[in-house]
Amino acid sequence: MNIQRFIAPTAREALAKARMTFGDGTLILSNRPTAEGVEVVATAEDALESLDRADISSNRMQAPGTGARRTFTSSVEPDSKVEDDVAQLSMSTLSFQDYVRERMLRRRQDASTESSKTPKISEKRQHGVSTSPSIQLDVAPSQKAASRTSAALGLQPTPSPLPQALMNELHSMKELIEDRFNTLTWLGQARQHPIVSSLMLKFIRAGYSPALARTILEKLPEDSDAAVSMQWVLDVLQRNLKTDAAGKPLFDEGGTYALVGSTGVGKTTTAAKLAGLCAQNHGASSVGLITLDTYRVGAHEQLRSYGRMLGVVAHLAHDRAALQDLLGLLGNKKMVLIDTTGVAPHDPRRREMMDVLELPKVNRLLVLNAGSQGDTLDDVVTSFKTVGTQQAVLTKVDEAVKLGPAMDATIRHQLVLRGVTTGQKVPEDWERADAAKLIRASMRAQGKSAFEPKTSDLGFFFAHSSGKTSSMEQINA
Amino acid sequence: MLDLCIDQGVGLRHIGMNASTRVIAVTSHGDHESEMPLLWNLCSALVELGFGVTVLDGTINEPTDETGLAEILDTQYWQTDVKACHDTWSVLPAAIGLRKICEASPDNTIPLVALEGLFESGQVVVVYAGSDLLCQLLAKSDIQPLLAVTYSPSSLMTAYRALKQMHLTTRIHPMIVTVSLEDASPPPANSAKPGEILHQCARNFLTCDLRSPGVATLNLGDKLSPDICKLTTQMLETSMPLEHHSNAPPEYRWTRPRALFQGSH
Repeated sequence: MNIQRFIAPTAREALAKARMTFGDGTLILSNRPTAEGVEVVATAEDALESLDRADISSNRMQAPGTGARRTFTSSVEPDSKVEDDVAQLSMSTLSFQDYVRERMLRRRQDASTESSKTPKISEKRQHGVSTSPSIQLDVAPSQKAASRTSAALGLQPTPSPLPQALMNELHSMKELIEDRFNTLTWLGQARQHPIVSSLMLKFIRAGYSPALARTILEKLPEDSDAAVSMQWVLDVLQRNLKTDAAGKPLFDEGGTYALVGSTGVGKTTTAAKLAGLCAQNHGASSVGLITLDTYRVGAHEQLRSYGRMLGVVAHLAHDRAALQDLLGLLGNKKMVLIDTTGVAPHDPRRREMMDVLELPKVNRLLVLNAGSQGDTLDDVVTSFKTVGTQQAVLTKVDEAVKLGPAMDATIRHQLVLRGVTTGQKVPEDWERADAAKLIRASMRAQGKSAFEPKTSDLGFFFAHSSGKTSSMEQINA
Repeated sequence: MLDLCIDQGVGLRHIGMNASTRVIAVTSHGDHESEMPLLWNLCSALVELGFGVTVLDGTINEPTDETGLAEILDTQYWQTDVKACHDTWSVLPAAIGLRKICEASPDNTIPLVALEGLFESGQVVVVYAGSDLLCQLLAKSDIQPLLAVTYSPSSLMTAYRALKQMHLTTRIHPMIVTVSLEDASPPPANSAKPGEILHQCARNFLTCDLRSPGVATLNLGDKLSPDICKLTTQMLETSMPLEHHSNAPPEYRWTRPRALFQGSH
């Protein structure tokens, strides 16, 4: 039997080499990645037939019950002619295929003990992705030609990462297409329902994301009139907007809070407001102020000015060690507020700053501009996300034309709103987060604007929505 | 709106009006060459931070021709029409007055409480006195007086004596800082910092661990260094608040003494 090994940089090239040697009747026995590229073991179909004949002959020489496939050999009459045996054997090539498969399996098992990569392959097999080269032999003889063609084209599954990536890509494409079709179907149905259609437009006009709008509207009870449906939507939004209404206000609860967020969102002013409120209720000596902002010109001066008005010292920490020292010094304070440098979500300094704040008992308070666009808010929240409960403050609520994006981001990212700032006055323009009030304000009709979508535009919004995300599953309707 | 002089911090100022007067202390151990520049820098830093400052100099008795603490204690308010101003600071001779409040103070009461209501709200009162007087004044308080030590051997000796007295008498643990004067001769190479030596002495002979202010060496010159600002803010955090007498007439509470060094810096 003529079995040869072909090594080439890619499976396609290795298979081409094999075909050059054995012609169209090339039979691929194995296919595996090696350090040099891809190794293909192949033989000719003719050689296989002669091997089958030799195997049968040897089986006939063996004692009964010792062969692997006795059921096949036991059917052969000892006194039958060789031609008959050959004819019978040629109809029973499956047994040899089984043999080859077993050999290949054994070989792979041996290899798995040596190679650390093999468990990954077995994992893939468990997930239904076959990487076995013996798949070439499992197909019926009539399908062999087609299979060989696909092998020659390099479409056969190989353990190399390329086909897997391709499969993933195809899978994601399939999901995307399904999602688009589902969206279009749902949109078509929703348009026929006037209340849903109206609420959908209301959501989009308020600045909510199509994903959240759809998640909620899909659960809208049927047979409700417009008013009831609207109230139901408000209730759902309100229920899903997490606030600290049940507990103490931030400044009464106390603790150490680092105010983080993008540039210009009002971190320093928010820190001053919280310091002022804490001082009002518990005395100026109950507040500690620290700034880490050594970058922005006048940042320390600004916090110091607020502190001066209040009679509170504003400390400056240049690094993590200095911050730790100061936190030790201010350990007896009810509330310690750490003002940080505002950084853009993708600024490389963000990671450094967040690392400095990786200290025990330092809570992070994400400061979000309520007037920001939805994508911007999403980006900021994702960038500044921390492990555990993420607390947030919405600033400049009075300046925001639409509160929908801020409410949407807060709901989808499961943030806990600890307060909102409603103006420039320190500390008067601070309010506790009231879910009902905020949701009502977000859904309130705005004036005419060039950015207002129309009913006919809804398709554009929903057709490009990303559909449901994992956070959408948390929505409590 | 601009004419009204109203800014976004009006509310904060209103809250800050009730801020307590704070008391901090600086120990005198006879090393005036280093203590005076330190005190100067400390007061300048406090003014820079926006605080009104009054230094009660416990190393000098009140003269008859000048206002001192003793006179203020007798009259209970400062007889002056100088407007409150955060840009200046005052120094009052106060040795007699401080001793008087120590003697008049009932048991289990911090003598400094007698200063309540005498000073403007939000002001910082710096008590500068020897260790014997500080032991009486600061007893039962959490104030950590500043103890400066220079590279001079005599400074180390006197500083240790003051430290030992405060520790043994009233368990007051000062905040030790090594001072290096700009115009002084440089310390010998590889010499240990006097502040560190004092810390070691306190640990070995007095079995007490003193808190380090986190400032290795304080270089005092004409300009305020970031270290003095850091030290000042730390001292403010360990200061003692003096509550206001809410029943005192406002006109008394909002007047200032004759500023001895007013505008002198």
